[in-house]
Amino acid sequence: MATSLYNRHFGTNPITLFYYFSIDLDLIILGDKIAESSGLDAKKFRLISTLLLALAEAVPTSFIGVVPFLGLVAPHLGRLIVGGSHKYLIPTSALVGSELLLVADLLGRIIIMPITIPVGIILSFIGTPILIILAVVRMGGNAKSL
Amino acid sequence: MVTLKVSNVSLSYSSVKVLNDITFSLEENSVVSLLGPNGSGKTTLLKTIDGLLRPNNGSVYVNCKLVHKLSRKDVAKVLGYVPQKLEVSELTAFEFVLTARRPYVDFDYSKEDKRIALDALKEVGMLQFKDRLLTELSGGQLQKIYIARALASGANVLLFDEPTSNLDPKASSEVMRLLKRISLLSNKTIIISIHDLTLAYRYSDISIFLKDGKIVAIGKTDEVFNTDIIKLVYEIDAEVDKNKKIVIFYY
Repeated sequence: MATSLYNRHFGTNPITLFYYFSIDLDLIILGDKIAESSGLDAKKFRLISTLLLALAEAVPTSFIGVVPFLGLVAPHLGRLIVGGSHKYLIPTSALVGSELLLVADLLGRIIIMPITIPVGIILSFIGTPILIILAVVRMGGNAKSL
Repeated sequence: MVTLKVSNVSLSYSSVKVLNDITFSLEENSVVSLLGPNGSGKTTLLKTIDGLLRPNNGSVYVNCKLVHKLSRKDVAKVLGYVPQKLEVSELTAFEFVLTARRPYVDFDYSKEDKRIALDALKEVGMLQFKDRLLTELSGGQLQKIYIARALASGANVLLFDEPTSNLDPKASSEVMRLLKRISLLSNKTIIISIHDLTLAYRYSDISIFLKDGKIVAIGKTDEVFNTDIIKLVYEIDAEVDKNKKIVIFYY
């Protein structure tokens, strides 16, 4: 039990590190030029954040397997709720992602009891329409601004 | 007092010489127009001053410090660079301006940082838009927010790469007026790369004409703005009306 808890915490630790870099993430999204002129070494930061991201993805995936759509849908929903500032976006995405996973797992267990549908299949059913809706909403927004 | 000194700066992209022995120095409280046709080296010069590009020869000094020996954080405290185009993210205007305080923070923004960001927004008259997303602002409003961000950085030399390029005439003159006011009130040296000669003539104290990476003319705007220099730089006939303060091109 203790090992399992430790493993789970280890899997979520890189998120804390990304929270620490939230200002730098805000900057890098504005483009390398503005990031560098604000004192950030953009190339170094990209390298470090890519390595951290690989770690953040690899550790939980190695414990619980591949969960499709979660990493795509959760940040997009989070952005709708709190906007683009990573200081709020990172914890919100983590919360939204865990809630989505919980709901998908619950649905997978109760839809055709006693058979359990894998959480990945349920998430694909939830995630695909959400992504399509988000894409349509974004395209609509862009069209309006044109 | 001299705030910026560019000394014998030359820079080449592979074998093409983009900047050729550029030398000038600027004092505080001045608006400087950087003029010249496309490809004359204006943006490259601004990037070199900001330390984003390293010159092959020569050096740039800000407040008597050699820019290329400073860390990126220290450069950001003395030089504020606003590129021609920024990727617009889903930050609010306030969050965006706040990112300029990055060189001063370790983990999170302090109350002082937030106050400075709000003051900068107030200074450019955009305080009422602080909670608007950048994606919801017009070109003129965005440009003012960029200016507020440069102000919030605390740098005393601000570099603007074509801030009026996508703006209508009214918004363009508003932006230039604002920059002029900031240079006077906040003791800033502001260098603006610009294509609109009338705006440059009206609002800048000093003008630098560049052609093929070389300085063709530099000096007080009233003195260097004449038909001969404009003809030499742009290869087009023009008339400088000193009374109306306009430049007319004969296409």
